[in-house]
Amino acid sequence: MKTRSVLILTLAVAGLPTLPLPAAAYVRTVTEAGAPSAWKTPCPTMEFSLGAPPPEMDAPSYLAAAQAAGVAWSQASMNGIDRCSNVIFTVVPVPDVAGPVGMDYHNRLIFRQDSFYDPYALAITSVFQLKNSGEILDADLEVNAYNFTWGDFAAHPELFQTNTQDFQGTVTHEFGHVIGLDHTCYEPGAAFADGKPIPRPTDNLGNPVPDCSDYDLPAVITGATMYVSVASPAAEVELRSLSPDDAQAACEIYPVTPDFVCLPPSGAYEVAGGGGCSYPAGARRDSIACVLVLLVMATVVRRRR
Amino acid sequence: MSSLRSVALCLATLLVPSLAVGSLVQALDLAQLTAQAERIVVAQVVSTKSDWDPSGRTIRTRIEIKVEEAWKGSVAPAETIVIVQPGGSVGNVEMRVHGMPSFAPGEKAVLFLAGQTTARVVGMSQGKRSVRWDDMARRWVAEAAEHSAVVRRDSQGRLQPAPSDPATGLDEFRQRVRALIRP
Repeated sequence: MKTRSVLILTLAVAGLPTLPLPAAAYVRTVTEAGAPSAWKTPCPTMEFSLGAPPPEMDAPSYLAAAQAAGVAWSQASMNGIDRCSNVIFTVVPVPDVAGPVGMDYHNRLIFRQDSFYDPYALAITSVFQLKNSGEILDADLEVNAYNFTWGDFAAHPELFQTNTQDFQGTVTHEFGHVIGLDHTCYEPGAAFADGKPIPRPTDNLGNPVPDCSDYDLPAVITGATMYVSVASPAAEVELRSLSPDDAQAACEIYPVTPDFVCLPPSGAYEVAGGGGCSYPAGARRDSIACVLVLLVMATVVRRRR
Repeated sequence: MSSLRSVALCLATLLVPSLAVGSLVQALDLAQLTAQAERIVVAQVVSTKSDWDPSGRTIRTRIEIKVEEAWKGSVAPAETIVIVQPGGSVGNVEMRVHGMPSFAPGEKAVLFLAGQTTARVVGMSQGKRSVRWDDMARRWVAEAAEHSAVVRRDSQGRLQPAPSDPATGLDEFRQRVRALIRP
């Protein structure tokens, strides 16, 4: 009887994460100066180097996965409003095998297949931002295809039992970082590169973010795409879809406005010893991006029908 | 009580994560860290300096450390080693790279290092164990590793969050590492 009660209770609670959850809270990345990170106009275009992708999937499949990850953020909806965010996340293929990472106003998505900074790292995301204002200028995502393999868990769930990672789910999560979101839980000990400890962040409601190691974290935290990790093959695939909290973040940080136009980042930056300032070079690219993402979104909607 | 534990276990199974972070790093146990490191030292951080690389595209941070003890590799006492890693801030620009270890001048740490000319920390944040003086216990303690973004593989090959090796006395930690170095 006791066992039966336990089983029923467990199954009942286990069903909870599958129910729609109300939006609760999200966490933003902040700079060393305490400024929340954000794009001035949220139209990041990721240039996806697909010249010679890893052999596990073909280039169109990788591209479709990355574009779908961008569409997930671009189509954020909340409180019954279909698209409540100005985020226009575009992924465009470029023929490079792997472009250079760095602060050049070109956001890159790259497979590293010849070597990787650390053989135990699966992916590294670098975000360039202005310390005082938090304006994000550039973001690059390097995927370790030298030491790891990547695949599509939705099409091939059997891959979950192998050394393969779900590419689309992971990229969706990383794109959350690209638009300035942090994890929904806190990892004590984390610090800025120069040694200054990162203080425990607060969520959008001003509440301290709980430790990731807490085992009683509520489902609104663990079910978010921006949670530090996921629980099962299905959950890993679910990273691809935003939780209400993720959508709320996109919609509140970048609320939809009627006459919104994508513009390049405004912030100039100083290169110490480099002889002056560099300025944005991607204005036209980002305007084209707006058109491209609408085409992608239209394609996705049509497929769903 | 056992029922509650059963529920907790079931829920933990359902909710405990596997991964997807800013930077994802596979967990290394102490034996793997020791095997992968070319040099293992106890050192004090002398300075940290961030600058743009020659291309002007990337910020890197140079960390200068002074060796106090060498546990593995050819390292002279008081030798200076330079660690270089991506990320840092210069002027008003900040390059955030999740998962990199952090260093502060004056800080003491056990470091598992790869690379000879310029070093890097093995397994990103896992290869750094800060060392502090425990006034109550009157001994040096190697802290748990900064463990952001560290994951491990379970028996099915899936990635799970990896528990960090807990804080331990420096003497005990030294013995454990040296035992692993010996064949």
